[in-house]
Amino acid sequence: MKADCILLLNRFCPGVFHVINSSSFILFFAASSLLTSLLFAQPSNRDQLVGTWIGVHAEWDIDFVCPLPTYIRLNADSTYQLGMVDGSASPLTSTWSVQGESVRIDTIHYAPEMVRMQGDLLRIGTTYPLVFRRFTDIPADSAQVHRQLTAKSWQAGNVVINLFANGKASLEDVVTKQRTAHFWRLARFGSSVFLIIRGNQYTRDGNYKPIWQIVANSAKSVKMIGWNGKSISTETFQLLKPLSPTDSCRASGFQTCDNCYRSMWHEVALGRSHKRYDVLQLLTKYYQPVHRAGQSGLIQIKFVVNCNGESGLFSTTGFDEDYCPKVFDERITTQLLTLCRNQIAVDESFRANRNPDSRPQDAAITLAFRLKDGNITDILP
Amino acid sequence: MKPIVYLLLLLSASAFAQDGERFLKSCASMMATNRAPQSRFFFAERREKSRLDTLTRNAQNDRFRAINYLWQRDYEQADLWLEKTSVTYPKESGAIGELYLLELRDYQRALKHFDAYDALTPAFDDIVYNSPVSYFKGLAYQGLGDHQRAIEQFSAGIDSLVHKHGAEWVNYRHFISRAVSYIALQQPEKALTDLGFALKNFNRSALAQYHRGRALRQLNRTQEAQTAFQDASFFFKALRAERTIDFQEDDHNLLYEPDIDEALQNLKTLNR
Repeated sequence: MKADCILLLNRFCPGVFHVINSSSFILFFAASSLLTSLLFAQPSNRDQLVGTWIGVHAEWDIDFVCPLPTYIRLNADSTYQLGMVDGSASPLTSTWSVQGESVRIDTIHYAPEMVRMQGDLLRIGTTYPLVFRRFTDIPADSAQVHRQLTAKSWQAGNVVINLFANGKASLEDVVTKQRTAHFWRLARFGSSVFLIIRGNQYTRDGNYKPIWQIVANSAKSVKMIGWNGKSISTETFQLLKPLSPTDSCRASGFQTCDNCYRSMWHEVALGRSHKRYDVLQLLTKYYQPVHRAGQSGLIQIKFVVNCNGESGLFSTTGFDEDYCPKVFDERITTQLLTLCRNQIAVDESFRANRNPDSRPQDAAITLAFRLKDGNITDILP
Repeated sequence: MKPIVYLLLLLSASAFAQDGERFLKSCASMMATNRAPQSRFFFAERREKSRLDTLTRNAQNDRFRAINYLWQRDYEQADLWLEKTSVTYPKESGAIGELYLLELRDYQRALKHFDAYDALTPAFDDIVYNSPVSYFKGLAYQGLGDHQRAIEQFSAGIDSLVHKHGAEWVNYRHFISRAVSYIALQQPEKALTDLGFALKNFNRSALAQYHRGRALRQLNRTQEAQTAFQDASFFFKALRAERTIDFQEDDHNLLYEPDIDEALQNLKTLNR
């Protein structure tokens, strides 16, 4: 913490560090410690932790989170439950306790500060923190909510949720016009009702989208608590229009099967595997060298093949021999893109799961070709 | 009949629960992962970058930063940090050269760094990881198609190891690499001598047998060449079963099963 503050000071106020005397330093850190303790209250009082916590998301990176469809129940009698909000699995039960600055949940002993409270949010861990919100039971009639939500289009801010009568759903961004296809259902949790959107364009299975708890509903609007992309808030979704059977529930373009898609997690590297040999064979067969001095360096092509074999998100980046950005002759990049699109993207082995019992996965493929005067001399691993 | 109906109901329920159970298990395992802070963020590029920004600069941290960019395939930044590391810490030049050679297939850059590394102690064949820098210089020349120079460098590396430890302690891949260049220069006898040394040090090498087959073919000893290729095919399959499906004996000398099959097929065509 101290080192971080010094770095921050040096970054934003160069030179300031040299003139701060030791007493002001002590005051500064006392103030920052107070602020930290106010923001992240230590769970010294186990009563603060008692209750039911609804999963919000797992923070995988500074700018990347994945919805968390689970709940944690920490009971006053030291019993503990970890379950799915939609009841799709039997909850795991165990015990929990607070020992000094540490918390034990089941058999996991958390180091001090690993279980922190931030207002009504519970954060577990610092590496890939799991964030939960305190649950308040809000009674709702699921049959009545279903009648009001189904076959209608709802909008809050830039987000439109289309809930079709056949259980299909689509999420649309009104600014980017991008639409993804999923499935929806309502789930009872206590006396509350949650809107669950999950799955992809092909199947109900797969990751969840953020789950929403119904607060109130009427014919024209529905209020729901959930993560709106920035914070936990109660959003009012206004009725946009009734949906007719002819309305499209399809994705607007290429959609990955994994709702929580990250290229790093799905990367299929050629390495020195047999796939590299296959790609070399394809190049020998299809690539017509464009002999031109200066067409040297690296061309990197990235694309994604989803679990059903559809490809998209193609991008091309060029680097010269000094690894600075470079635009290559279009005759070269077009050939390589066509090869990727028509030959490599349709090769099922790229998205085959190593575990034969598992479903096919999305595959993020990156190929980097080394060129010398328009001739391909190598493929990077 | 009733138990079968119950069984079917149970199976359908468990099939529905399977996905939920998977999520639950994954959440439980994440909770365990989060019990203590971790030193590196393997799946969080931006968090990892922030962590690296806070580290004090030293050879290891700078090199790791370059490798991180290589993993992310950000070649511009990777090159920047590779060069920066080499300039700031000249003793890192050998390792930097190896990254240019192996990961970027940039033989000119690799040579530049190997030369700089070798020049640090002119009278001594410096070691990069477990091999003399001459061996890596040989690989770089081989990549550039300059087999004569490659042989000179491989020989310098092999000789220094033989002098210090004896031929049986030379990595068999060094002999294979020199043999590959001898074959390229149509000097199959010399290649066979080297491949003999290689097989003495690792007698189950598919790679050595494959190149032995190539050398024997240059000498028109087709029957022996066929045996060598068949041995290569046998050991290739055996090594693949023992290790992983993507196993390569030598990352600098890649061999694929169709290469062996093609060599065998060509021999058959020749014998017709």
